[in-house]
Amino acid sequence: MVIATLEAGAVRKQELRNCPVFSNSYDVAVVGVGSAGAESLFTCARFGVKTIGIDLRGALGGNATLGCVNFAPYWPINVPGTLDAFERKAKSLGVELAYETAVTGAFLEGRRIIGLRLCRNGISRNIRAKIVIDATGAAAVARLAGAKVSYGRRSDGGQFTVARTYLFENEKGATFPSYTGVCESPSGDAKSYAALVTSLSVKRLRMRRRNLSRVLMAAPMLGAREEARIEAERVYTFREALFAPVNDTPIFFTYTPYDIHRATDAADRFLESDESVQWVVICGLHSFSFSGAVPYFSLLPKNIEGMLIPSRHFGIDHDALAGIRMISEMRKTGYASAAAATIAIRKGISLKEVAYNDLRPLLEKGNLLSRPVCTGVGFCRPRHAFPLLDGEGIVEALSRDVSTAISWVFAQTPNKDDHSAWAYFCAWRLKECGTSAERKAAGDSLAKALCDPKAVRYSANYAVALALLGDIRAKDVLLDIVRHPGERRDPVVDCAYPNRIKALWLLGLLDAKEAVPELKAIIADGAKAYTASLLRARATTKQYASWVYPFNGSATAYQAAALAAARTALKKIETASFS
Amino acid sequence: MRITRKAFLQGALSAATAWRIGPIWAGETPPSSPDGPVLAEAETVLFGASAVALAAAMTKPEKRIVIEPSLALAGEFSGALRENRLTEAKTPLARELTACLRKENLIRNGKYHMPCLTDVFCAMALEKNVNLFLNAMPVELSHANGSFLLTVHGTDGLNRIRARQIIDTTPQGWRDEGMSDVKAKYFCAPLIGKSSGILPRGETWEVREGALEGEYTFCLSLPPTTGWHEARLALYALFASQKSGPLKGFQIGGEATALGFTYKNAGIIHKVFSNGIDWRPAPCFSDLLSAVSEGESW
Repeated sequence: MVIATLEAGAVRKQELRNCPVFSNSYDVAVVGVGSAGAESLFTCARFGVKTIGIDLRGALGGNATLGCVNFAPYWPINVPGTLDAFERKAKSLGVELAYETAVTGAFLEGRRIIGLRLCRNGISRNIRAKIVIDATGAAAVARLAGAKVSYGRRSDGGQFTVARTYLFENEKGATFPSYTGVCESPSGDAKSYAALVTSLSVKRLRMRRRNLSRVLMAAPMLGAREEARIEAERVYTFREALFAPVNDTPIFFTYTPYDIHRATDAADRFLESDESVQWVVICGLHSFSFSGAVPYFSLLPKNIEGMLIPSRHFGIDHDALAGIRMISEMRKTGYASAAAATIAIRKGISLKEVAYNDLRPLLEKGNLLSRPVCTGVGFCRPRHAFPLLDGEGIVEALSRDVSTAISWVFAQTPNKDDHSAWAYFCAWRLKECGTSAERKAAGDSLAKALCDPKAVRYSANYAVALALLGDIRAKDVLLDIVRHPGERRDPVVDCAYPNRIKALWLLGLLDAKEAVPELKAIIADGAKAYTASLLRARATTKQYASWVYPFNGSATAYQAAALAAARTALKKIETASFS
Repeated sequence: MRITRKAFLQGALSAATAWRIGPIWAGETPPSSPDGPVLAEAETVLFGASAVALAAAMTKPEKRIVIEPSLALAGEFSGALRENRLTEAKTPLARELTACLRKENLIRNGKYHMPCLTDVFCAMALEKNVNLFLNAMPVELSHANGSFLLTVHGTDGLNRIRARQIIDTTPQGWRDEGMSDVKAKYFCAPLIGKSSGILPRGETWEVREGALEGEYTFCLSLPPTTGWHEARLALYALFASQKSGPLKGFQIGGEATALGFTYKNAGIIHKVFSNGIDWRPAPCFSDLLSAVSEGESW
């Protein structure tokens, strides 16, 4: 047996000569009793499994309670009411709680975790557990057990916002939360963590200075939307959610908005994955919802026995986490983990051996397998579910001056007939899961439209769709737009994401080596000349939040976006050439 | 105190520099520990980011480290929603704190608005380069060559700190060694609603008026061994039982984020535990500025 500890950020394993003394034995130990962990704890108890809940803080609920995340009317959670209800539920179910307790070590036998070392106020004890549920969201125990962990997006590790919240009372005596955040990692050494917490607290205080309402609670924990991600037996990806929405072992279904919660500047978006750039920038689908069917094995850390990993660190990629990270989804990961743990304990089998046919009835009992009212891509409203378009349909939808993104939050569009975002997505979908005949037919329709002299004004739209289809016939038109921005093929359109910026990035996606001189010239100029004529556009952020539409009419925003797009494209082409 | 962006960045930069150099005994090379490297060395390690401990750390930031298991600064006042009377500021730091509270518009009628106090202390700690370990707790302690070797569990796991002195300002002491001194605990919740005039109170509970107009806090006294679970159950059950009576018109709007403490002996408590730790529990100070002034004198 070994004990694994985390020392200054690195895992250290020590062989134990003698078996340690365990003060208690449990079927399940749940570490982190936030939204996911509390659900695991209660579900295990309901299924008659002996469970202990362990948390650094002194309450159940995590972000939903101590994080003060109750953004009514979307998620109307009453903070004190929830704290009270959770505690009463814990009492009625007879669960054991270890509050203000840290996990300082994990006992391992080979790949199996068999116990934990706990510490509360300097008093340590060891406990044994058949299954450990790491619901910390920060991979705190999974790391000890040897799980591989990654952070943030692939390009630079950038993460979603981490926030500090005040719960205010307004003039009418109602409560409302307000938060201030930054896109920084909430994991780190003591120095960087203290700097993050204190600087966010100062920002929170400034927020209160602007809003002199009474503060009911200064949320005692950081609200982290993303922290660590554990390498799981199966990693559920955004691509899979979009293009292969069915799997054999769904533990729950989702329909959630893609909300990356990052900085508002237009350049930052090009640091996200290709899928994210296509979704947000090229299609204009920021904040639109997408369907998901989360598979069971995404709850199992790779090559580790006896552990489940509900909460935001489960087997999911950074992009899918942009949608599947809300409190209700995290609770579902917690419930499913408890269901799997219960079966494994009852049958005396490993978590990997849990048969889906055994798991399904418990998931159904928890109402996890009911499908959302909406599916596919769109708003959270059924009326916006559009039929899939073929090539002709895409051409028809794009034969217009396209407007900017339509926001899920604002549920509005400059022109309700504008289905361009959907048309772009259909082109992308055809590339990913259409038949070769469907792709060819759509490509031919768009290529034909490109040659239509009456529709030159819309040719950039067609070229963008053609590029999303992966059709190299888009190259010439995109190159023409890049060489002659603002001319016939690239009109300046009010409140639209400029096609010339999309064209830069898409040339990289199509590996257009012939575009390298133009890309270099644009970068050398800081994209000043390239974006100059865009200043004629009536661009505004009054109608849209800046994270939906990042241009405010200033030269800087256009230049930053064009520069980022050109750099990303150039890097992509050069990398492809090198390899 | 007004924190400009420039001052904020300068503060953050100097804080980072201070940490790299370390709150070290100047000129000495940190000796290595047989259990692993020592992250930092300090003249004094303070347990608990209480008002008194923070004041002490702000006075000599290069020599002192504060270790706090939560994210709350001065939690015995701001988190526990303790009596928020503002007394006369007699020392420089107390005057500075008063000025900060005034600047943030947190003072009314000789009282201050409690929940924001934690962030006021954050601003001051940032400006004064206080070395903070947050979400961290001391787990082991040993003695070597006349100094303490402390193992702390924090955000990046276990780290070791060597110190000449440890002052524990936590309410019941490290490893609960001061538990026998605790007379009672209390748990508070901010109320929403309007008082009909006289503030209601019962045998074990009371409603206190806060600094801002319409600010009321419901406080319940509890036995000394009460933990969060029992405290919460008791508070909500009591409130529910009084909702149609004296507490009619009120509803609970939030919760205290720290439990409050009272002690068997009135006045300032100072004990030295058998392990050599100096225990000076923060909640024993009668008010915020007295605690700050005391810390300044350490």
